[in-house]
Amino acid sequence: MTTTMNRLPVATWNPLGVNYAPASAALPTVPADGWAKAEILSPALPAGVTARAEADFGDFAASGMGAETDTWLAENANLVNHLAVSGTADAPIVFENTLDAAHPHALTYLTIDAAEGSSLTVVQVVRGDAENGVSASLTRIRAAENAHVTLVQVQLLGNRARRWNAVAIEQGKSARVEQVRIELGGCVVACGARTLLNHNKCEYDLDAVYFGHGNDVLDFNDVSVHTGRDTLCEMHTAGVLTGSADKILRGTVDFQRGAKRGVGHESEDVLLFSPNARNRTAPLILCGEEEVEGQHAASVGRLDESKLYYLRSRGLSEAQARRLMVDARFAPAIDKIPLESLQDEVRENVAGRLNDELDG
Amino acid sequence: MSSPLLEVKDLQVIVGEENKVLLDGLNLTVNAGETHVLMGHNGAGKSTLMSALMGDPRYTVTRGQIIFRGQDITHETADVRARAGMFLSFQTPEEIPGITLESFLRTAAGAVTGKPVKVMKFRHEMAAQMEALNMDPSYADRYLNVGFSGGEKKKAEILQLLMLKPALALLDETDSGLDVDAVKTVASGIKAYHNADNALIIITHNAKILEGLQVDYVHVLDDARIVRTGDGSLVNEIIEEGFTALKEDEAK
Repeated sequence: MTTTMNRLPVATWNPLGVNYAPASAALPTVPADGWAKAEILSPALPAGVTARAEADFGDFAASGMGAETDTWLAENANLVNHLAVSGTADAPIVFENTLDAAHPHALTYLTIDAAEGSSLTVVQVVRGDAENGVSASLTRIRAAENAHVTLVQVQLLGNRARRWNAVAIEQGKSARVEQVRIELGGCVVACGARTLLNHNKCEYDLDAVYFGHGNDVLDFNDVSVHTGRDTLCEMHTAGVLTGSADKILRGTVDFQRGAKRGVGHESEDVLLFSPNARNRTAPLILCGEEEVEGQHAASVGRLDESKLYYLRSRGLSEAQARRLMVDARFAPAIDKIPLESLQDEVRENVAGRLNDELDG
Repeated sequence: MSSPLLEVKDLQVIVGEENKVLLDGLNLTVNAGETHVLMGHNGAGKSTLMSALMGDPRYTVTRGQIIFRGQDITHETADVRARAGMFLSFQTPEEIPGITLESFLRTAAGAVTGKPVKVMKFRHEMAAQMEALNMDPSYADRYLNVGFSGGEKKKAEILQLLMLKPALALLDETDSGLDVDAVKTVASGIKAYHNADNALIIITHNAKILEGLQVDYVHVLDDARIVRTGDGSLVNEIIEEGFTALKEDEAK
């Protein structure tokens, strides 16, 4: 499908190539015989959470990937779940998908309707690999006043599958949404999160990590739109690029009129393990209101040789030292995974990819 | 007599694209149980020797040999040397965000011993060593050296020395930037580490850190080599009279 996704909210000089996702990240073509049937997702639901057949998210905010992409993802989904939560869910809800030859396509559409004062954690895990495999995901979160929603997304695909991941969030007064996005596999990875902080004192927190290798194409577009007063967003990304991976990350903090005392911090820390890897970071802070605080920081570079020597002088091999440095960068996101076994799996997955890179 | 712990033979070391010679024809023998002190004016090559011994990749050995515990480690990487029992206390320790001091030390302990670390025993020992070094216990959970004062960084280096228990400790101006009390604390840590089975090579401009230690040899570096070796009394002689007077005496 041809559409421009992951648009930078305000275009910059076009030759930089960061205004929207490249054609290589375009949405997949629907197979002639339709999408393969996906495995049914029916995780256990804790008390306070109900699954609904329908959900009213028709006129909902766009994700970071854009309304057109959202519509396509919702219409093509072969796994749909609508959750409503009231009260405090005492355990995370875990959705797990595995791509394989029999199930090469998982296109999920999840809505979360969190009532006033409610609390919920949702974990989405996708593993496996398949030739022409597709993992596409649209997640819409409505967090009412004082609601607290945590969305943890862990993508551990192999290197043949492609991945699209859109998140759209609307937040009520004093609501808090935390998103953890871990994208380690896939030859094409396109993700876009967008939150509307249009009520007072609501907060959004994004901790994201990625790992690009070979000829991977990675494209991210994360947007925090502030219109309420005293709103806060923290968007922090860490990544590793090896081989000839090509990555663009757009991060936008948009203080619109009315966002008095709004605070938005965004940062990216990229480790380049190959001279052929390409990194582009496009931070954007838009100020339509006075009395706001917006900060962005980006660190791009190779593993610091002095730090590497220091670690090796304590007996760590080069592989161990590299792993430790990457673990350190990824720790803020991985530590937020509520399942210890999944934390370990992610760390091992990262270690395996680093070892492949060292051996390679 | 057992073989030396460390033998440096005719060492030549260069650095940079211009291949600048920093050490040339340096010889040094260190036996277990000994304490050696390196002195010399700034730029004499003291830190270069420490770095070359530890395997800093910025320096290239172009001649000579480094034999450590009977093994030729001249061209080995730093991690191989560390696992063989060598330790360098850095003059400017690196800050590593994202890795706590305890986590790092446990990883290092596992790496140098090649054995899994028993967590509770390790924590207990680490807490005791931190207390002895007057380190706040909260430092164990802080990222390695991040936001540490100069003194705390040096104490963290000595903590690593005490926990990793190397056979040879290279201390590169561990006392620099420390206040009087901190020097005493660090000195007591070094004394606690030292025994008949290990050895110390210390770079210092200050005799305070040597208090409580039996200094066996003092080496004076100049012009890329050791120009004089004496007993412990040479430390005070140099501190009182300086290197210039020493050179003049030599000339006479």
